Amino acid sequence: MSSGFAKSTVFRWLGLGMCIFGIVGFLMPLPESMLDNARDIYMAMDEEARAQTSVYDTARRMQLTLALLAMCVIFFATEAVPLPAVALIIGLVQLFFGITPPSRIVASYAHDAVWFIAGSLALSGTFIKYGLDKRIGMLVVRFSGTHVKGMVFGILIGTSIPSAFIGGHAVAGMFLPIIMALYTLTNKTVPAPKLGKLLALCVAYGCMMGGPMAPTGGARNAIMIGFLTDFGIEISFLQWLLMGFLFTLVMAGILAMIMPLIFRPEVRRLDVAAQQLRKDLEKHGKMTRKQYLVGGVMLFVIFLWMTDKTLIRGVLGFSLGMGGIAITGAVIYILMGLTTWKDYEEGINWGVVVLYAGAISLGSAFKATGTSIWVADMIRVVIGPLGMDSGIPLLMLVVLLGAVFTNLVSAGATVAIIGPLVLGMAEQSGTSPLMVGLTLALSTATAFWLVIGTPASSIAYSSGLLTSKDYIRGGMFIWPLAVVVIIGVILLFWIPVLGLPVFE
Amino acid sequence: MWWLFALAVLALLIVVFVLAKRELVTEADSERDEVLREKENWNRHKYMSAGDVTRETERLLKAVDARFADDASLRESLTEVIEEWSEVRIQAFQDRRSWVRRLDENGKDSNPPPESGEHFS
Repeated sequence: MSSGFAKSTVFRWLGLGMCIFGIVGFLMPLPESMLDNARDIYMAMDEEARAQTSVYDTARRMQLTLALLAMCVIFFATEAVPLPAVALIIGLVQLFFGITPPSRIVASYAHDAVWFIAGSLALSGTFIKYGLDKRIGMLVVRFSGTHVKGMVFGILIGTSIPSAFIGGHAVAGMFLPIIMALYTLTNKTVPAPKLGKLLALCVAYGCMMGGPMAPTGGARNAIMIGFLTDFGIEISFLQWLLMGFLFTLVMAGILAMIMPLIFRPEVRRLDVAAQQLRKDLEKHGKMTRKQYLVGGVMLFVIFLWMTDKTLIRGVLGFSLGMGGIAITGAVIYILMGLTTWKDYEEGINWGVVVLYAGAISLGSAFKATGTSIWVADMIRVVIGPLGMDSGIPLLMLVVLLGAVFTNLVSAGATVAIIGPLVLGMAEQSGTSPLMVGLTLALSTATAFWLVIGTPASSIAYSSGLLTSKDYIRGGMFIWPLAVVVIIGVILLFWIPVLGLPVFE
Repeated sequence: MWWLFALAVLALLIVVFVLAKRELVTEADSERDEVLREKENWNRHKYMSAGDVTRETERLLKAVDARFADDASLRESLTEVIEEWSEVRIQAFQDRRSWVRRLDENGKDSNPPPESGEHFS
């Protein structure tokens, strides 16, 4: 069975998606409130813009954008069409239905965040090509001791922190052989299926936890950066890292304590297995000169990201942007002869870049047409009486929405679909879009319930050590805990320690 | 009136989520089963490490030398066959090893993890 981007069109879902587009875009009566919002937008336009449109046309553009979002939800959830094609459909619908002028569609696909995704994929591809990810795995095995709890903590930290920089699926793929070796070597003397489950889930969860730690942890972060830029908010790499690292570290610590209690391993120590594994890993020898060079360039890029808004802006008088820096790193690798363009062609999935460009374009259309404001108003009508339409209650709502939705679709789709809506609510209510945006990004790291929750979960599942029930069992305990930790990070760290204002 | 449409669409979306998730889980199951089947097939094959293959190759070559000392052409052909068999078995042995027990070549990743990923993550 073909999977991922190799999938061909599933016609029943394609048909349903198109029907939904037709229903929302053409059959649904134009809401009066949408016309009111359109009137406000129309009145705010300059003379020249007003001459080219009308209140009704403005409202129709909002309705069609809403229809486009509904269709995309179907396509993202079902993968009815290869996802990069969905990304292109987003632009085409805007073009053919006159939602966005052609020049603006092209601009929305060429966002700095898209450069950032492309550059980050190139950087991590080179990092993996030279086996530097494996060096991290070797370090974990070397320093984690032989106690199961120590090994679990080591795996959680060793998977989560690299996942923040080179993507969870790659880290999971690298760590799986390590835990398989630990399990197989132990299983030879003591049957240890629970140990296998524990270690495999730690890999999946660790990779999940690392995602929101840094902008590079997942392209959903880049989508959010793109959305925030549309709201006039420029977030630096360092600022994201400061807001994201605590969740990752706290969750790693808590999971290290709780996971061995949920999946009680048959053994407490892994002396023989760990020693054998270390012996095997030592045969890989010391790091080569090229590995040092690749690592050095990566560190240089991270340094540029972290100082872009301070040192770099101070020296150059302008900032380079995260995308510009990522591409700089990717080009340096080529200039130094460490990689070739062919490697980038083969190692980077350009479909992913197109996919995220499309998601950012969808968010831009939502903002530009005023649809985000209308949807935000409608949601506020429903949740307003509950007092959840602004400030900290809104942040709590975003946590819950993100944590539920990421288990239904995927992290990227959650940010792409919910992002424009909750940012619109933030804008309408005066709540900080930065806090709302980062809260949503953080809450997408809670896809604990299903084997297909994240790519890393699927990779861990393919080991054969886990069943679907293991994910549900883990999710029952860990999911509510993660939600509490996110709320705790917001209330006890972001607001009092980092001093971030809840309201603008 | 419009909100009736909106509610109907929302309900439909929820149904789609559930059905689509089921399909994706079935897909993940079949991928997992494929991996397990492959592992089982490996286990069914006669297990020979690289060292075992080398020893067996030497034994066979010695036997060929001793038995076909007077037929150079046949000896050469058999030697070639045995050496090719040896290469294939060693390659197969290398291929089934994960990166943990398989050394990198020229500092490059010899057993790469899944590349940049076809995921919406």
